[in-house]
Amino acid sequence: MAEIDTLRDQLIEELWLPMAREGGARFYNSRRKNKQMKLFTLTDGINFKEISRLEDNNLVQRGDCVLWVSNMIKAVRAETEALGVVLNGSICDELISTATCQLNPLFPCDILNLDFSSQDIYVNNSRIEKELEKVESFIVLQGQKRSKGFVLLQTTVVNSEDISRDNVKRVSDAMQSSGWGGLALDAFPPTISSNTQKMDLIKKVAELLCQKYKYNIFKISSLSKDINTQQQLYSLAVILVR
Amino acid sequence: MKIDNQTKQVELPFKVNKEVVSHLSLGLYRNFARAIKELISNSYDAGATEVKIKLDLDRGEIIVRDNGRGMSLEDIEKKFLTIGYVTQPSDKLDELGRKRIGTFGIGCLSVFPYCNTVHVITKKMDSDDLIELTIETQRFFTGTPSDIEKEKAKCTVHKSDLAKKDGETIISLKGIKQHLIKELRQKSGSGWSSIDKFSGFEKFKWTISQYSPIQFSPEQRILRSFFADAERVPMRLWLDGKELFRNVPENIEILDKGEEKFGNVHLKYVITTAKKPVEPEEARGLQVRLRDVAVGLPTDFEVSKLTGKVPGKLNYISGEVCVLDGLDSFLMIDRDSFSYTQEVSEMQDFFRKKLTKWSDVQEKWAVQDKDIYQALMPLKDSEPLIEELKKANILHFSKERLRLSKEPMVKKSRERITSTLETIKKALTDKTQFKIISRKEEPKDKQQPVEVKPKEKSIVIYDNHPEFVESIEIDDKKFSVTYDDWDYKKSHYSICKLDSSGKKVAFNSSHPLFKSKISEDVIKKIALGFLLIAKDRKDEEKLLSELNHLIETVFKG
Repeated sequence: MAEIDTLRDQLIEELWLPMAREGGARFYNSRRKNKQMKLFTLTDGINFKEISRLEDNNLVQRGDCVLWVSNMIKAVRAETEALGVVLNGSICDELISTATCQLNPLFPCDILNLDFSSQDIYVNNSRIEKELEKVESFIVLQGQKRSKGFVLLQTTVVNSEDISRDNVKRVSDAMQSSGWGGLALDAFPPTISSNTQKMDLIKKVAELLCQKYKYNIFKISSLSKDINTQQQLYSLAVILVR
Repeated sequence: MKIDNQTKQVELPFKVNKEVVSHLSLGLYRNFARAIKELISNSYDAGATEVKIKLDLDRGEIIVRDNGRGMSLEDIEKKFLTIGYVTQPSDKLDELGRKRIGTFGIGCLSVFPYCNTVHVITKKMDSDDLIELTIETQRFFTGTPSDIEKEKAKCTVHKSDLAKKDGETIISLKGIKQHLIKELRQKSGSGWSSIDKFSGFEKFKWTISQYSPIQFSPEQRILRSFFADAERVPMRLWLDGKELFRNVPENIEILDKGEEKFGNVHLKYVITTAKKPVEPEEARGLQVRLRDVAVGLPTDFEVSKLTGKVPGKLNYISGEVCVLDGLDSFLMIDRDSFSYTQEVSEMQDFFRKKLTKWSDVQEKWAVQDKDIYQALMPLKDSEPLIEELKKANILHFSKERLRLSKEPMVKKSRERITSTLETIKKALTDKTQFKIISRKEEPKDKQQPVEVKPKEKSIVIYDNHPEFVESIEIDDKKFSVTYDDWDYKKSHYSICKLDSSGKKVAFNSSHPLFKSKISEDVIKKIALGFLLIAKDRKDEEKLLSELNHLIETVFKG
């Protein structure tokens, strides 16, 4: 069984960094020598590897990041790294797109690293549905804060747990957007059981959410790594522009 | 005396009042940064290779995290919470090649006076348990004293998220005292002469960097390698995300370094000069270290007091004395000094002599430098030459550090007048060990008048360089100047004379007026002016004698 940390290191090098570089060039090419962007990251609170790698590549600046960790102990550890603002709690319980949310004044960000695999998410079922709901909330928050473009990195563990297509649609459609007719997921079966289909669904939802919130997709790319025969670490990277 | 047959024997217990904590912590660690240094030293002893400190003044919190061995519940009980837990100093090295710093078991007490709560999170290596511990520190300073054994610290055990092999300790000081926050937020005063002029944060940073067992920065290559121990794994320290290194004054040069033994005491030392007063002044003198940790602040070993002499350039000197062996048992409990032993006395005497010597050497350099700078003053562009002389270690100090006269060369009494060329040659001959080579050939284009050749230990001077051609102007007429010696009493041209072309004037170096302190330029111009007035007149000889006599009378008086 591969350690998630090792697989995450591979994702950083093979997907996150190349896409962040491309996003930096797209957003800041004419303005900055170093494409230093503001990062929001769901981080593991242990080694903060994604931040140090982005920093090594002059894509983000120490002190200018927003870190989310799943508990207070990790937050204390993260504080000593002096990487930026450290927040902690259960990301799935956070009402992200509300004005009172603690994240509100810290946004918009240029890179959103929504690495749900880094968080201790204690959810018995519908975990991926909840994560997709949070992804949408973050896109809404970026839109509210008038972000013209950002790099979305979305990572999750895909395992034997089924995804309910209708549940995904219902939760998303409850969030209104002018002129939006709802998530069109008819190509997927009501219960999504195969890991390949789950990954396709995650990608499709991301594409549709871009349309819903009037962002164009400049580039989209994904990568999956086998944790074992039943589980994959799946990561999707999208450069959204308006 | 009557002895009462009814006497009885009882055993009374010794009791430790909880105020002992207050006395110990307040008495030992009078400075917040030094108290934090104690936590850092604990991390070092715990085998940490990385220590990270975060200061959050808005929240009134400071966090110190290390990747050392961590603690188990038993370690916490027997070591961390046992006041006065003693670890005997040992010559044994741990797996990182380090010797223990702490021996008294009071490190955690150091921070008690400065915060309301100490929150500890620790995971011992090869364990899955993460222990959380909270100590309400203010109970030890307020209210009625009670038996310390009644005090309890609450511990919670969790499952750790770290790999089993990893260790970690995070100590958070919460509720930092307001006066400390105010102090840490204090803005800097003007200048850098003392750490008291630094901002509160910079002062904290300087103190931590001075005391902690950290390395020299990679830029301090020589110091880093001289004090490095290949067998010992160093500890790195970060404050608010920036790595800290040992304080080293700017632009220092090494004067002396070596290893010495005084009985059982074995040490390495480096003495440096900043070639100006070391700033901040707290860095002046030699920093003594035991196992990489500072013992007090830098010291001059009371050289002035004990030698009865004030070495003038002592404030230019800084450096380090790293005790490698032999004083482990002689460190005083406040860790600011050693007990007075024969070896300590010998060591101090040795460094007093060194400091006096290097102060005297620098005083001598300053005198030499001054003479060379003055000699070079008539040159139009002396800067490139000054740089070369500095590189060759002929000049040691910058012009600004020496009180130079604005006059090119202040004549000393009874010194004869000479040309710029001769003055420079004399200064360089007298003040350097370099061989002075005179070149008579015409210099090439852009040729500097003086060339320093450090490898050959020689200085080449081009005698015929235009820079050395001296001239004097009177009534828009330019005369080239030479110097000669003749008996001024036997000639009416007692001060100067013109050559047959009438364009070259020779001044009499041996004339007493040029040995006086009167500006030679003034005398030269008046004497030449009188010569030009008298020239070609029938009574030239008489008139010139009278005029020269007049100058001599006026200026001699």
